[in-house]
Amino acid sequence: MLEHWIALARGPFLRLALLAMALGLLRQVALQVWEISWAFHRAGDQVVPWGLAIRRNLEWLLPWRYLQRRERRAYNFTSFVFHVGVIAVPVFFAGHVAIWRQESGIGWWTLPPAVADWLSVLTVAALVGLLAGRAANASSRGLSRFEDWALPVLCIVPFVTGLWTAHPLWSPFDAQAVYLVHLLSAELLLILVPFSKLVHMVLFWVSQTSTELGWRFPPGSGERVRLSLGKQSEGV
Amino acid sequence: MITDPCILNDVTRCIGCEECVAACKKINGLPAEDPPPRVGHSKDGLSATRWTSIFRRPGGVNVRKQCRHCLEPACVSVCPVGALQKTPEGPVIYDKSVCMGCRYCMMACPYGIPHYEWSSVNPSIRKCILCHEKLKSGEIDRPACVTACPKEATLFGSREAMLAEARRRIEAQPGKYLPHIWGEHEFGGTSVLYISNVDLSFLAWEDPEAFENEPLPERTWNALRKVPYEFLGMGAFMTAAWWIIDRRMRLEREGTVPPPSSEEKGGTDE
Amino acid sequence: MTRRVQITKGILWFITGLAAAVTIVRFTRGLGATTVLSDTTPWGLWVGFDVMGGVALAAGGFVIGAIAHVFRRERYHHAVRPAILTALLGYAAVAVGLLYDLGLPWNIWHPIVFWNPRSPLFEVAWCVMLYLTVLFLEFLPVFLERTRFKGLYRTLLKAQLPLIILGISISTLHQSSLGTLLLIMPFRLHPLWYTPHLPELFFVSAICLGLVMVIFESSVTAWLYERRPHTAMLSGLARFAAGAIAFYLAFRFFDLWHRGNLHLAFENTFEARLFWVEIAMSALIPLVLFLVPRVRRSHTGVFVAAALGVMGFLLNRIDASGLAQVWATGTDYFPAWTEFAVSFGIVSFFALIYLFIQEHFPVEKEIVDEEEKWRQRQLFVLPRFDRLSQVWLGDRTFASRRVYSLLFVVALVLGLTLTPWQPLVEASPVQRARGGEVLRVGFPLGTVQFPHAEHVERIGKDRCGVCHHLHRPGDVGTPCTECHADLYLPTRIFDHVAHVRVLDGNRSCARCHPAEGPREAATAAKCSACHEKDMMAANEVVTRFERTDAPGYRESAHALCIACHRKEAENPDVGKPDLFRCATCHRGVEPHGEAVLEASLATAECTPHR
Repeated sequence: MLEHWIALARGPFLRLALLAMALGLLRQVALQVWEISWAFHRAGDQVVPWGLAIRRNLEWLLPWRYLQRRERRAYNFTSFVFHVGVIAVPVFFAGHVAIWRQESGIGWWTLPPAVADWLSVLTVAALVGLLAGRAANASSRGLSRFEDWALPVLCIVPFVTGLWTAHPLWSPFDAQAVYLVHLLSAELLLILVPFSKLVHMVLFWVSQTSTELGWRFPPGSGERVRLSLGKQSEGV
Repeated sequence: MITDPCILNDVTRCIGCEECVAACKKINGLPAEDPPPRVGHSKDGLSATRWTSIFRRPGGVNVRKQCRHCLEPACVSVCPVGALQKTPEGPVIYDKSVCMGCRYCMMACPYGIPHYEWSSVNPSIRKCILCHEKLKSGEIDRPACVTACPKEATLFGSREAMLAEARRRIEAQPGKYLPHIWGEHEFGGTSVLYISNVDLSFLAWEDPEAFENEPLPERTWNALRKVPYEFLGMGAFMTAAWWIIDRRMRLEREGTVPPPSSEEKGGTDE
Repeated sequence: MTRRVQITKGILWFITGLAAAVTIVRFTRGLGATTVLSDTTPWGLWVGFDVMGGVALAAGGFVIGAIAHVFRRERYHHAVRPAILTALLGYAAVAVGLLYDLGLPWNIWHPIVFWNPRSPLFEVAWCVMLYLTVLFLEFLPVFLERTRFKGLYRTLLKAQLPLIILGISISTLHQSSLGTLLLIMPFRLHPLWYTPHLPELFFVSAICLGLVMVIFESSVTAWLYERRPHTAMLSGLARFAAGAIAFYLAFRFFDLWHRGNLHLAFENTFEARLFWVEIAMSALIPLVLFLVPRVRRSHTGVFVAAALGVMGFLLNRIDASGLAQVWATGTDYFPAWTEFAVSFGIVSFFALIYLFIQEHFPVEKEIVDEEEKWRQRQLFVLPRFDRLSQVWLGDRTFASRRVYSLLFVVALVLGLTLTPWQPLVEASPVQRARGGEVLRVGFPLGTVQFPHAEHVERIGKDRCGVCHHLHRPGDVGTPCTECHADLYLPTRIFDHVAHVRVLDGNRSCARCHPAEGPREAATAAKCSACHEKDMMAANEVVTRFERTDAPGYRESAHALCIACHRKEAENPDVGKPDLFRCATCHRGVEPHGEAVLEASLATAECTPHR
C-alpha cells in the first residue's frame, strides 16, 4: 500500500513540488523587479545608485558582517549554522545527487555520508535553538507570526526522517512510513517556499535594495502622501 | 519506364505471405518493427511505417492495401501547398519540404491511405509512392512489392494492359471471380486495380458505388470555381446597396424625398 | 475595474496557464503526446473548434459592418468597434490555433509561396491572411484616435467603407469555403450534414453565428463592466438574428427533404440525436425566444438565446468536422483534456487581450473612460506592505496582478505535472493461449499460429526452458503472458510489497539493498542473486533473470522466435528454408489458411528476407 504512495511521492509529487518552487520563485522575482521599477517610475527618480545597492547586498550576504553584530550573538551564530545545513544537506547529500543523476543525467560533488549525518544533526539542533531563541526573547516573540513558528517545526521533519531513512536502525517507526513522511514533508516545504517567508532565498536582495534606493522621494511627494492619507487640512 | 504505371492485385492468388510488406519496408528504408499503434489506428494494418499491408478478411481472404494512386486524387487536389503531387508518369508523391502538416489529405482520401508520424515533433505524411524515384531512374523496372510477390498475385504494367489482363482472367474463369474490376471507375479510376472472389467495397471508407464514380475533386471544384464571381458579385452588391441607401438618405436630408413615416421597422421594439 | 472583471480575469489567467503548460509539451513532444488524434481521426477539436468555430465566431465583424456602414443603420454603430475587435482577435486566435494543429507550424506561411488554387484550404488560408490585414486596418483608427498620428487616422477613417466592403467580400468567400472544405469527404460526413450546398449553408450559419455572437458579447461586456446594455440595439440585432436563423432552418430542412434524407433525422441513431440537439440549440430555441417580443426586450432573455445560439452553431462546426464522421470511421474520438486546455486557453488568452484593449483604447468610450477614472483613483489609494518581502512598494493594481500571476503559475505547474509526456499508445493485453495450440495476439494480423506440439517435438521434451525460461515459484511451464502481459508495453513483474512481507519486514532491506547510499532499484541486487535456481531457466535470449520489468509480448516473442527460426531455416539438414518468413507464424487460422500454408511452404521460389 505505502509502496504506491512512495511511487507517487517520488514521481509526480516531486516533479510538482520542484516545478511549483521553481516557477513560483520565478514569479516572485519577476513581480518584485516589476514593482521596484514601477516604484522608481512613480517616484520620478532618474539616478539609481546601482553600485551602492550591489555593494550593500554583497556585504550582507557574507556571513562575518552578520556575525560581527553585537546583540544576540548566539542566535545569529545558530542561524548561520542552520543556513549552512539547510543548503548543504539537501543539495549535496549523496542519495539526493544519485536521484538527480538517475532522472536527469546531471550529478555533482557530494558530501561524505558521515559529514552529511552530522550536519543533519547540527541543523536539527540549530532549528531547535532558533525556536528556543525566538521564544526566549520578548520582542522576538511579539513580532512572530504563525508561520515564524510553523516553518522551523516543519523544517525539522524532513531532516529527522531523512536521518532515519539513511539509518533505518535508529528509527523507531516503519521504514517505508518514515520515507514517505520524509518525501511528503520535503515536498510540502518546497511548495511553500514561494508562498511563505522562505521566499527570501531569492528575494533577499529586495529589502536591502529597497532600503538603499526606494525612499528617494521627488519634490512634491509629501503633497501626494497627504492627499492619499486624506489629511488635506494638515501641513506636510 | 512505362507512362501509365498500374498495379493489378488478384485477391484470389494472394496467400498473405507479406513478402511485399517486407520488400516495401526494405526499399523505402522503413523500420522492420512497427512502433506500438496509437489508439484509433487503422484497422487494415497500414501505418506510417507500413505503406502496404495484407488486410486479412474472413474466409482466409487476403487483400493487399496500398495507395491507389487515383487518376484524379483527392489528396492532391486538397493539399493547400501542393506538397502532394500527381507526377506526369502517374504515381502520387509527397514533398516534405513543402508540407505544413494540416492533414487535410488524410481527411480527403476515401481509402484512408495517408498516415502520419504522430509521435514525431517534425512529422511527415507517409504513404506508398509506387517506388517512383527508383522506377524513374531505371534502378528497378517494377515496384519492389510486385517483384517480391511469389504467387504473381500482384502484377505491374500499363493501365490498359492491366485492365485487359483483369478482363482476360475474369472471362477465363467466370466462376472464380466476381465480374467487377475494383479501381476501374471508382472516384474517376485508380492506378491500383483489384479482381476478387469477394466484394471489395470495404477498401474505402464507404462503398464507392454510392458516389456514382464521380471524381472527388470535382465536388470542391464545382464550388471553388465560382469564387471570383462571388467575390466581385458581393463587392458590387454591397457597393450598389450603399450607393442607393446613401443617396436616399442624402435626398431625405435635403428634403427632396419625404422621410418614411416610422423611421425603421425595428422602432416598435424600443 | 469591477469585482466581476477581476474574477473573470483570474479564471481566464488560470486557463491560459494550463494552456501554457500544454504548449510546452505540444512543441517539444509533438501532437502524439497532446492529442488523441489518430490516423482514422486526423482532425479533432483544434480544427473543429479553433479553426472552423473560430472563423465563424468572428463573422460578427463583417455582418455588423454591413448592417451599420453599408445599410446605414446608425443605431448599430455602437456595435461596430467591439465586433471588429472581436473579429480581429478571433482571426488572430485562429492563426494561433493553427500553429498548434499544424504538424509543421513553422511552414504556416507556405500558402503564400506554394499555390494550389484547387484546394479549398488554400483559398481559406489566403482569405484569412487578407482579412486579418483588412481587419487590422479597420481597427487601427481605435489605436490611433488618442495619438498624434492624425493624418493616418483621418485617411483610415475615409477608407473605412471600402475596407468594410472588401472585408464583406472576403468573408463571403472563406466562410463558405470552410463548407467547401468538407465537400470532398462525402464518404466521411454523415448525410444529415453532407450536402452539395454546404458552402451556402456555412455562409448563412456564419451570419447567424456572427449576429448571436455580437449579442452575446455585448451582453457579457455590459454585465462585466456593470453598464446598461444598449437595449434598442440588442433587440434590433435579435430581430435580424431571428430572420437569419429562420432562413437557415428553412434552407437546411428543405435541402434535407429535397435530397430525400429527412427520414434519417427520425431514426434512432447517435447522429439523429446529435442533429436534433444541434438544431435545437443553434436554431429552434433561439428562434422561438427571439420571436417573443418580451424576451427580446429582456436582457436575460436575449442573453440566454444568444448564448444557446453561439453554443449551437459552434456545435454545428464541431459536428461537421468531427462528430458526424465517427459514423464512417468507427473510431470514437473524445478530445483529451490537453486539447480542451489549448482550445479554451487560446480563447482565454485572446479574451484577456480583448479586455485589455477595451480598458485602454476607445473601443467603447464609456468603458475606457470609466477605467481611466478608476486608474486615477488608484494612485490615491493607501499603498500596502508586501507581505513576503515586507517592502513598501505598489498600489492596489499590484494586488490583482499578484493574484493573476499566482493563478497562472499554479495552472502552469498543474498542467506540466498532469500532461502525459509520452505519445498515447494502445494498451493491448495479450490473451492467454488456450490448449497451448494457438496464440491469439492483436494488431495488425489478428492471430499468430503457434503449433505447440510440433515445437515440443522439434526442440525436445526436456528443453521446455528454451521458451518457458522463467517459472513462478512452484510452477512449471508458466505461460509467456504471465509476465509479457501486453503486446507492446512492458509489464512490471517485481512485487516489492510481497518481498518485504515474505522476507521478514524492514529488517530484510539489506538482503537486496546496499547498506550505504540510496535504496534504489538501480543499486539493488539482481533477481538472479536469490532466484538463480528456483526461477531461472536460461535460454539464448534471456541468460540471466535481472530485469524488474518484462518487455512487450511482441518484442520478446520476436527476439526469441526469430533467432531460432533463422538458425533452423539456414540449416540444410532441417530443409525448411521458409521458416524464416513472417507468414510462417503470421496468418489466419481458418481452414482455408491451413491449406494456403501448405501451398506456400511447398513453393520453391519463396526466399527468406531480412
